[in-house]
Amino acid sequence: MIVLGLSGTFHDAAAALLVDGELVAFAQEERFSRRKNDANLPVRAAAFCLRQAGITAADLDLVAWHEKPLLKLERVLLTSLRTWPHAATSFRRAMVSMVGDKLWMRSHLVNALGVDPRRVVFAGHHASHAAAALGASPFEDAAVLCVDGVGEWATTSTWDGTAPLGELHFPHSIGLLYSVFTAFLGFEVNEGEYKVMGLAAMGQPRYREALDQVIERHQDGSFTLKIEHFRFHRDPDRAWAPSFEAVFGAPRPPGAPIEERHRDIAASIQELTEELLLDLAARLHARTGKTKLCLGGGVALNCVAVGRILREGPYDDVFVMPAAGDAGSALGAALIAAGGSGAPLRAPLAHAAWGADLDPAAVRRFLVDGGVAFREVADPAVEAAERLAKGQILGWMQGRFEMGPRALGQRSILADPRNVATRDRLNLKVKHREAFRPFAPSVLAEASPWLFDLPRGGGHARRFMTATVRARDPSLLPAALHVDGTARVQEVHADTQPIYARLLSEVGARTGIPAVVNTSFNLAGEPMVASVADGWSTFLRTDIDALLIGPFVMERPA
Amino acid sequence: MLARLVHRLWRGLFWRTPGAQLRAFAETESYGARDLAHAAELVKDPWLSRQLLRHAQDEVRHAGILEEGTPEPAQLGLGASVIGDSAAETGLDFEQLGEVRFLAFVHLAEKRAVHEFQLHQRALGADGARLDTILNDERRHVAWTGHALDRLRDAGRGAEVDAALRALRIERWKNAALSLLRRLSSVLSALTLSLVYVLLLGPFCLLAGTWRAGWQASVRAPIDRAF
Repeated sequence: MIVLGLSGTFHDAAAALLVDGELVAFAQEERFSRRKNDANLPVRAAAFCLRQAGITAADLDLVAWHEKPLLKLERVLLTSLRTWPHAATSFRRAMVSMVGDKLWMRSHLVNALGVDPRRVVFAGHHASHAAAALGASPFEDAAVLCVDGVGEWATTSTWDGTAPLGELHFPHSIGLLYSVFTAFLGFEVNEGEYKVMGLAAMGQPRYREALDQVIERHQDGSFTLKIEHFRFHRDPDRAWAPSFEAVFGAPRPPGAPIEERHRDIAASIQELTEELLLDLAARLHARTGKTKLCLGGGVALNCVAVGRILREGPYDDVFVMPAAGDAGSALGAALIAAGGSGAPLRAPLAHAAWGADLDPAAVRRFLVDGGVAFREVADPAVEAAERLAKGQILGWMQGRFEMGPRALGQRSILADPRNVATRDRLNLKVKHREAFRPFAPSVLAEASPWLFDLPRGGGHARRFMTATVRARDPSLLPAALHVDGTARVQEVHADTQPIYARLLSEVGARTGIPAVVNTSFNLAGEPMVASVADGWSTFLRTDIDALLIGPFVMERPA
Repeated sequence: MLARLVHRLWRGLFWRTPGAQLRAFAETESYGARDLAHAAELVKDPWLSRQLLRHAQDEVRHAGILEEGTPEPAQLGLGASVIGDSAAETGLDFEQLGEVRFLAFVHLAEKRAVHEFQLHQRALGADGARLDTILNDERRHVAWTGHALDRLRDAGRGAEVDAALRALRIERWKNAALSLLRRLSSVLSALTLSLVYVLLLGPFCLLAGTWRAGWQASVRAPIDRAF
């Protein structure tokens, strides 16, 4: 059976292809369209998946969309009615968007792919998250907790394996609450949440008690937002009410200097989010008795919270798939559809490299035809290690590009983690982003236990850089740590990433630390690079010293 | 809020401050470099690939020249970008346009760029000297893209080239008109839907119930053939 799973229309459109239960390809649309968080129908990503499998759309048995448009319309309509007459703007925009476009998803898919309409099916949004979270994990059985902004109605859902237990409904949402504070702190929603998480470590949770004025927690682990303080449910241009500002002060305008109050607010909302997730996870364990936990939904990408669940929670192990947000729900939808009337299939991920590969012949042709000066090296790992040990910053493109928002050694910018000046140069001259943003390390898996204080379990989460840990000796790799000495570490295994593992090994031989700073290869506001052209044009527009694409090395032009 | 609405509607017509305009040019050059490099990857002709990559390198250099000394967009109160999402998002899609139309577009765009940079150079006065190198390069871009189109004519695709140039020249005005019509229809639909919401939906709000707090059962099937 060949099943194509798709997600999109609000953010992070993606496609995932299963052939006889095996994952063959996965890609986010943004990597092809070059539009960050591209929400449009993932036609390019779908075309890539089909090419990768050597098939056409005519070969597809099913096309699974990751949510149910009618159910979403129900939520939109009822919300507009429940907030009448305040939601005129929200109602207007939603009707144009839903009735004018999103409701006709079957037609869109049929027209775009040329498939029989009877082959198109619709999976629930949170069901897709849950199927991806459990299906991509190495666990045969686990408790599953999905937390996001909102799907159709659900904002939080709990599962005993594949069996649903319960859900919390809009507008009571951890994801939306976090996004409100993201906007309040002057960052872009669906993009700036990571910045809030990073900023949190630099503040104190002085507003933690104040948060109790906007959210009420209940004995059964659920919570309700005190909706009178919010506007996101009825006004697309304003997320909070004036009473919200009475509690937290004036919002920070985008680009304005970050003050202590902003850092403290970030720390407070981060602490609340961690408490809520920890509590939900603990109750789920008490109810199911499961010793493993899978997390799904966009909030699962809050790696600080995941790290805390690993350290303080009751589970032996926790897994978060690398594309835990809406992109990953494409895989979940495919797994559900492939399972038919039974439980969703499983497709455990040993690695995240499911995107398009680099063809050495095509890369060479691009470089030669374009008159780009380059060298071909026998061993890119050794070449890169030598440069990194000298303090160079490198663009690194190897193999198939990765799924999810994190670079995992396939499309990365690499640097020496020993030098703090490197971090500053990376933020200022390469990534052109705020100085407070931390970087993350990739380390050889064998070295991780002596570099970091590791909790019980978590190895699977650390493979995909989805949990934070604390460094044993921050002076060893200061450029790869946050101000509080923690790191969102990626543990690299030779069996799944041989070239990257060898690079780390060679770096270790030269510096004593088999680790690098690993950040995504892209400019601010652009998606991670995918093809040789993306890498080359991005390389030119940054302060990177050299670019390695497969075995080809390019130096910065004089 | 009204000022914001008006600004959003007529954004393109507002004359930017010199700093914002230079930053806008820089962003356009940077995105152009990305699109040209992408096109270079896809074309079969080695000569064309080389020209596109050289052009992309020039655009990158131009972006650097233009950005030097100009405030960041956030400092100009313009969010992350001056030119907004449209150019960054849509860019110039070689796969959608095809080789002829892509080259025609770049040729006409470079001609316009020469004109615009000349205007701004005069407006900037002493500061305009930094645009000298850029202007020379842009003139060279007009020349090579013109030559590329001539090569296509020599290869028997003259009708295609002329049709593309014609269509693109008309398209600017067509797109402007469509944009205006879209904005007008947007205003009309906004009025209509607002009236529907306020006058027609009002009574139904009594039937809508209130927010459901606490844990709810997942009653719906994980997958449906109906949407």
